[in-house]
Amino acid sequence: MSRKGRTDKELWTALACSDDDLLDPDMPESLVNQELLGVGIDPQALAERAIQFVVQAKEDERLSWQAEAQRTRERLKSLVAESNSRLRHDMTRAEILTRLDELRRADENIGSAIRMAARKRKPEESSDSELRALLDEMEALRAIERGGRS
Amino acid sequence: MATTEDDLWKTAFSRLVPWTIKRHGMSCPDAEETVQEAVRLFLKAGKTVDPANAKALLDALGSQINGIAVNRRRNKAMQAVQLTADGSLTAADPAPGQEQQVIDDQLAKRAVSLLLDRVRSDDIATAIVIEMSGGNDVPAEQARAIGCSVADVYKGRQRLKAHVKAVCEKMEAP
Repeated sequence: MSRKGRTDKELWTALACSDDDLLDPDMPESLVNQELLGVGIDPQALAERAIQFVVQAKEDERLSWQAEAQRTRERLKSLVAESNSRLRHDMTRAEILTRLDELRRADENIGSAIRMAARKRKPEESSDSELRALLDEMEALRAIERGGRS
Repeated sequence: MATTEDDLWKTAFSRLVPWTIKRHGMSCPDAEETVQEAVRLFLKAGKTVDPANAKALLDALGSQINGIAVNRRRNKAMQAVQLTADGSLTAADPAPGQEQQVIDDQLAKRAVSLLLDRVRSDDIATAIVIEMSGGNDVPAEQARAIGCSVADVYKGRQRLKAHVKAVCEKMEAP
């Protein structure tokens, strides 16, 4: 193979980059160990730390979905708690029905959920506490839907 | 060479930690932490390792480490560029190792001359410089051209590196 000769500047730059030998798997391990000892690192101890770290990092990575799911759960819980805390405890039956109607009109998904509930039991057949429970559920559903979009 | 995945990771750490120290001018703990960060990113990206291909892992992690180091330098530089009391800007320090890369033709000529002077009694190191001046940087090819073992070439390159460092220090001295 013919190669083009280098200028001194190019040669010096190539010489100054010779640390990349360490990335060559063909570099003998004895020389790698010399490099490590030269910077004050015990090769055996580093190898042990490396394996410990990789085992832990793989485990963390395997379980990372759980941490993410836990964060999502906490976020949704706080959204629900926040939405429920905004509702007055002493709402009258008329106020609850008005609010349910607002929610039904404002959001198609919640509207469907309210209609499904009404199929099982019509509002006029429901007690105040059943209507209140439905409103709490719908407000929570709305908060979750909004939170999921944000 | 690495035969199991554990061997491969040991190989990766043993080479990448000193490489990071030298290439990016980091302390030992910082370099090890940086290698760990690169491994985490590698695993997070769902990449797998092939124990028969250590080079692929070293290259992938080396490139990841370069990215991490560049980002850290950039962040540090941004933090360092702050407004002083009189409204002027304070500049960041140059990145470690970069001063060595900026060199003019005359300085390079003098550096190479000093280097050849230093290695003249070391046949293999001298032959490596000659091979590199012809564009041959690959240790196995250098060994073939010089007529010695690859291990001897690596040892010669180690000695050469120490000479390069000494020449740099001599040229920087007042």
